[in-house]
Amino acid sequence: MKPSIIYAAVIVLIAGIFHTGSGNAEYADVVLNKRAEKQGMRPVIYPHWFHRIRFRCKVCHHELGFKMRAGANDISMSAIIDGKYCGICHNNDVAWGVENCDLCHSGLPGLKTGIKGGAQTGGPGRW
Amino acid sequence: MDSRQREAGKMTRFRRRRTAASFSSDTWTVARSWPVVCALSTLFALLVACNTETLKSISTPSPPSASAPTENAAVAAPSSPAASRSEKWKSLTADGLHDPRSPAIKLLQQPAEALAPLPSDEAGNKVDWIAALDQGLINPRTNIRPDTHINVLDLDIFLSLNGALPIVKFPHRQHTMWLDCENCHEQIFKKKAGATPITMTDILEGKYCGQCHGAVAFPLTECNRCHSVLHRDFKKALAESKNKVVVRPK
Repeated sequence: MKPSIIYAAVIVLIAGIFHTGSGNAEYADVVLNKRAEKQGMRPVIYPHWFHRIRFRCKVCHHELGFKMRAGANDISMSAIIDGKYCGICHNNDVAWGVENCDLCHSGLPGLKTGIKGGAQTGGPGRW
Repeated sequence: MDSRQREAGKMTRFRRRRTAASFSSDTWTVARSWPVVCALSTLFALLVACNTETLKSISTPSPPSASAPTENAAVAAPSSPAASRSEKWKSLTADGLHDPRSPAIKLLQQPAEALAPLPSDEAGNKVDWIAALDQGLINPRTNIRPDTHINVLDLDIFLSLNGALPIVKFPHRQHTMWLDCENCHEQIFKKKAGATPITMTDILEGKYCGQCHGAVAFPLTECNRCHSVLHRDFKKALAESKNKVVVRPK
């Protein structure tokens, strides 16, 4: 019994060390930087808190088909301009349009794609 | 290396494998006693706290802009209620994600401005999102396309009846206020109650409930929000629940 408890404690320790994410970021902020920085733009910061005041999860994760894994969605500017992904709202009709580059591309250089703000599981941040 | 040494090496590897295997299967069986669960939770909470502090000190960039003094002033003056409320949410210039030199930083809404008026909470975004919905303080859109069918279900599932922790009451109402059935069924959970083998180990690894809880929905430090029904109150909870399914242990 005792060794098992020690192993469990070690696992919890490791989980605590690796899954706390960026300490200061707001809970569930997402960094998208698969393409941005390679193409000379700041990484995108997607704040869940801002969007969930205005939209229920089901709008993006059901109607628009966003997968619940940071980095699992193949988002490109051309897709957005075609009205897919963010582009279904960010079209100067529901929300600001794509010409306001800096409003989304507002992250610090060098950030890695993933879910931030103290996430404690691999959850949507695993990729 | 002679044959005896090789044999000894094999045995060590075999023992290691055995230990690893036995650990994965019986960890949570062992952890089914209150003292152990309490100790582990405390340890976890401490670690999370320590890490957050350490990471803050390491990762906070020194904002070169003129906003630095105001930041410090807000942190140093917790006496006014407004200041103490805004401390719950870091300014975008100090969150370690936004570039303080970005031209957008003055235009984007600050978390404190949006979240402070909403019902308070201790974890996650420090907002009780369900209370915010129930009290009508926010009314987020349910759909973009006019023909999308909105599914809402009021059905409680009672799980984990024999655990050492209180019984889990899963309310569909609160979940379907935010999510559609298809977000969970059938990919993450089978529709048949009890057909999905959910374990805390898997949840902590980001599977099942852990896909959202611990990343975007309230974090896994909040044990009692899911394990919410004390065993002695089970009958009362069943009576209070309008629509329910009880998952009996096999």
